[in-house]
Amino acid sequence: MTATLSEATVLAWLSRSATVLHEQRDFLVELDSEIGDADHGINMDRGFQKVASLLPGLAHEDISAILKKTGMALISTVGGASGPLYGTFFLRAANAASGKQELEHADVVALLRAGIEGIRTLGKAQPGDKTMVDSLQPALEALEQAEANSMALPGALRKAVQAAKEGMTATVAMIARKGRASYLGERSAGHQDPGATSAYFLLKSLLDVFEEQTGKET
Amino acid sequence: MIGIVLASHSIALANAVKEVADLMSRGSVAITPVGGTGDPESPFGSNSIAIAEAIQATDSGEGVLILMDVGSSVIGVIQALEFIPAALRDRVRLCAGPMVEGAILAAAQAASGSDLSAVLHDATHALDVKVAQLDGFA
Repeated sequence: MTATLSEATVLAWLSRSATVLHEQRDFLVELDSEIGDADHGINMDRGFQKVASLLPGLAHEDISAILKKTGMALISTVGGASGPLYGTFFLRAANAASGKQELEHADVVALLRAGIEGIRTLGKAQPGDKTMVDSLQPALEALEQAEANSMALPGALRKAVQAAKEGMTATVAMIARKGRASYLGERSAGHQDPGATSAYFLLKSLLDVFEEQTGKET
Repeated sequence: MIGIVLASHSIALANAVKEVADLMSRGSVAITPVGGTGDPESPFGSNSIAIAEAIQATDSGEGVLILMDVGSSVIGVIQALEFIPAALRDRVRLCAGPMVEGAILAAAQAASGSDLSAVLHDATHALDVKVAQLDGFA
């Protein structure tokens, strides 16, 4: 059986993301205090608390509308560069999900691809720049690979999250070429990128709620 | 007359730049400061929806020049273009020049009736005067 992502999964994903980002707020602040301006955890928590407050009113909206409202909420509340960037991710994803009642593997890949391309265009970030792209891009490539191998969604998503985690960890050694951390030059090496970390938490939250809903079958 | 939007991480900074620029135009140019998150705990940041509203409020039909500080203000301004009508977008210009020097110069030029492309050009090169002044002293 090929599992699909439903509107309920999307709502549960966003709710879980808000919970996780709230729990990880201080950790993200700590990461950002090492190479940035120490506000990433505060900003992401503020943005996703706003999203969480909207979710009860979105129960009867379709997936595209839910993602779009999430994007607009993040843009108007997050503040740092991550607000426009994650906002674009969700707005582009909303376009890719337009008209879909549920998301099959190809739809999830298309949605993530559109979102990540949106982030790369707006932030002009390439893999290796020590940004959220360094966890998102490997995740996308793992999903595409899994699709090419006809791997079903929960297992494919697990591969994607694993790739995101490895990408996130790889940012430790990188020298930042984008964002506030790039002002530090070589001194930015040795620290994990906060954006790559929050992006990993978002993908991990998606996997977790999906596995809970599908009972971990592959 | 063209208008000017000042997009900063800090609304206090944007307001202060407007005050200085207003001296040059004697208040005759529409200059709209925008910035900050509105959250007292973490007040610095940008909001591209607020920037889009500032652009719309500033345009008189002859176009808007946007000056910005760094980082998320730049990304916020680029994203704001998605939230304004296409016809307005055609007469909005993003200026890579320095925000303080650029705003002072742009306000003076706009007040004298210069068009959008002329103001954009001069504001982009607004550091040149200071570079020349400091030559030999730096």
